[in-house]
Amino acid sequence: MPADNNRQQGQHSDGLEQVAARIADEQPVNWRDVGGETDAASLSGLREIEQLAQGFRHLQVSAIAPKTPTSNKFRFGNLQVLEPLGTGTQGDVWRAYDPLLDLQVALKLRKVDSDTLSHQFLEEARRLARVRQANIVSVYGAAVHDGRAGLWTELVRGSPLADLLAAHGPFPAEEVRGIGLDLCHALAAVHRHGLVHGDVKAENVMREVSGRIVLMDFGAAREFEHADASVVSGTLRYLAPEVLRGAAPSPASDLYALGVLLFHLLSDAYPYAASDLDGLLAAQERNQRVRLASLKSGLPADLVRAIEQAIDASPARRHASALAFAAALAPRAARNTSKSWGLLAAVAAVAALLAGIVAWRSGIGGWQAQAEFQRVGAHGSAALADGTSIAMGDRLVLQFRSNQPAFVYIFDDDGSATTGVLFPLADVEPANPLAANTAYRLPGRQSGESVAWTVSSRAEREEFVVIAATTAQPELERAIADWQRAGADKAGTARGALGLTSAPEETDIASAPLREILQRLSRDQGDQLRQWRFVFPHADR
Amino acid sequence: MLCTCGAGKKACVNDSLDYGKTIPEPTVALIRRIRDGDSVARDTLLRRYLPALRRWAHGRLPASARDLSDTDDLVQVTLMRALNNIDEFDARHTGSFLAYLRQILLNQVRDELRRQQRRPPGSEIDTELPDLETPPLVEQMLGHERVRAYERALAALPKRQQELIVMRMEFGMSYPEIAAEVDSTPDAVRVMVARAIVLLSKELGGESA
Repeated sequence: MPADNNRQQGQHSDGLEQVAARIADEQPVNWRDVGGETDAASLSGLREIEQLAQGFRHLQVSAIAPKTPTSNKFRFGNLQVLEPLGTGTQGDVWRAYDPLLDLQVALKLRKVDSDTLSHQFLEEARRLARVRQANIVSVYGAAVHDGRAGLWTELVRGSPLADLLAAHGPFPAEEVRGIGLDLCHALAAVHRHGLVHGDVKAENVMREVSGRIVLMDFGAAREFEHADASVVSGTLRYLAPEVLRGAAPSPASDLYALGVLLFHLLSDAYPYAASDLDGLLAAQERNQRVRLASLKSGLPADLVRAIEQAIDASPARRHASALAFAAALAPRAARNTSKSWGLLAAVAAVAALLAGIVAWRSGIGGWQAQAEFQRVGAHGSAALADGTSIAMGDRLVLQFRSNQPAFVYIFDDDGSATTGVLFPLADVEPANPLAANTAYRLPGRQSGESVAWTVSSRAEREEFVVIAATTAQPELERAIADWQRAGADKAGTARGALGLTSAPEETDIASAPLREILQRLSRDQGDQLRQWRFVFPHADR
Repeated sequence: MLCTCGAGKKACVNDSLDYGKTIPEPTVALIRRIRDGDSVARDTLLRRYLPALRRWAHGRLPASARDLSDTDDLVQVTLMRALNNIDEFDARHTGSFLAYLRQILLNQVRDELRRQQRRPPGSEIDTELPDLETPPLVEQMLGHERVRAYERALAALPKRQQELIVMRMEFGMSYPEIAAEVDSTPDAVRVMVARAIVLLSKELGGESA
């Protein structure tokens, strides 16, 4: 190796070692000054370690925290309330001690003057408590006592991004990219639980002392399926045009807000110059949006593109999901090489017992449908939580059950240009409609033998869309027939390890038509339609 | 970690391990004495490790098994067993006794989690998350996947580097304490820990790439 290369490598590892030493010394790392020639993967690993170290430290401290704090002001249920931390729009925030968790917590209190409000509050808290993700403030509990509703969460020590921006000016591009990626994963978790955040903004995102990015303040969060469009909450400049015009907040409006936030962190400006409702509406009407590249030169083109797409006035043209936004933000350009799916016979030694977190959605008329991916192994199958890594050769099935007859359609939609049809399949039983109150394991059986989908793709991730409807969906079925015919023409018949001619590996279709159809269907018959999105990153990428 | 002075300073006194305020007798010497039947050495080692192991286990047990007596039982039983089988450690292991204990305890915690998560066959799916799924504090704080990724990356490192990271990051031991465990100097330990962290970062970075 030439001497220069040796020297350069030595400098890189010196730089990494210095950062590592600061982490080991429990000293803050100024990530803005780190980077340059430093190995990006190791740097991202170091950031992760810094956050882990901070978490471990908190555990050490929490385990020896005094069991009975001496300075408690009052009690809220079991909590010993210690001191006020601030006043928010929806109530006061206190530092409190939770003796059950043996932790200091942040307690948000607000008045509720009716049983209905109490019920709503507790319902919302329960849903939030299920959203567990490293970049989301953890909810520990909620209760109503003496006419006050309280929600307690982890105590996050750090600064809101708004304060950091005010103190230090615009953030460097790579830091914004990192923040964007963290928040995309946070929002993906929120959306998976059928919630929208509704108020993503620089004031509601904290950077912990360790560097961990935390999405806070779910005051405006609501279930998007039942969101009330008559109440506009969220800060104006972060509100998507459709929400400003009265539409209910949705995952797409959360992505818009995140796009505005990243735009703001990079430029200290907003996509529209106006700050009042009339001015914003007028500017949007005239399409007077400020372009990010015109505010700041030298930004990475892919980063600018990803943000500009997120703040598109049309929700249909924004990223399809938070994880699709993450893929666009990821430092490496999106790739998709020789993507294909094959069907492979799988041993059906599967316990039908369902475990883990599953996606139940209550609907009008009590319709309940449940969908869960499982990985099939030699010793049975195991639930595959959303976000779990998958690898080449993995065999997947979908457990599906509904309390009404249901028409099910499954697509592989990884955010790239093409989409595959995974169900229904010709020659594979069952066919639609699937009977009520029966546990199905899809794709099903061919010639009496259980089959599974086998991961044979080198794409960055797999994203599956599962649609269930109480009635047949002619538009979707016509489109599927067209796409499968087109795939067969293109690929011939020899596909799949066991000669399954209906294997969907080449039945790739353009994603946009599918998304447009789904958008129309959920708008027209939202009550009779359930839609799930499962994202599984590839472990071998 | 309770140490308030610079972690690299030799004069640092902290209570992450109960060494008292005198120069600690190296663990390896204590183990030698325990093997020879010295009950004082056994008590000294128990006193040294119990508090740190309790704190460590507290964050890793599910909510339903986290109250003080459960944690104490688990840790105490683990430690007593390890001391009763100290020849096994001596014969098979050349590294830190604390890291060895942590591994045994981690296995115990996993058994405990599995025991609690086991459901009767045929049970209905509950639309409400049952309380026993409240994850351990470490996962509440950092997320399940993140903790698993860390464990995987850690397991990929050489034994000695694993131990250094565990002692510094998970147990919050100071450099002098680690030096006493691995028979080295605090300054050398500081460098070794930083290098181990760089190795871990490459594993973690590679995993997320």
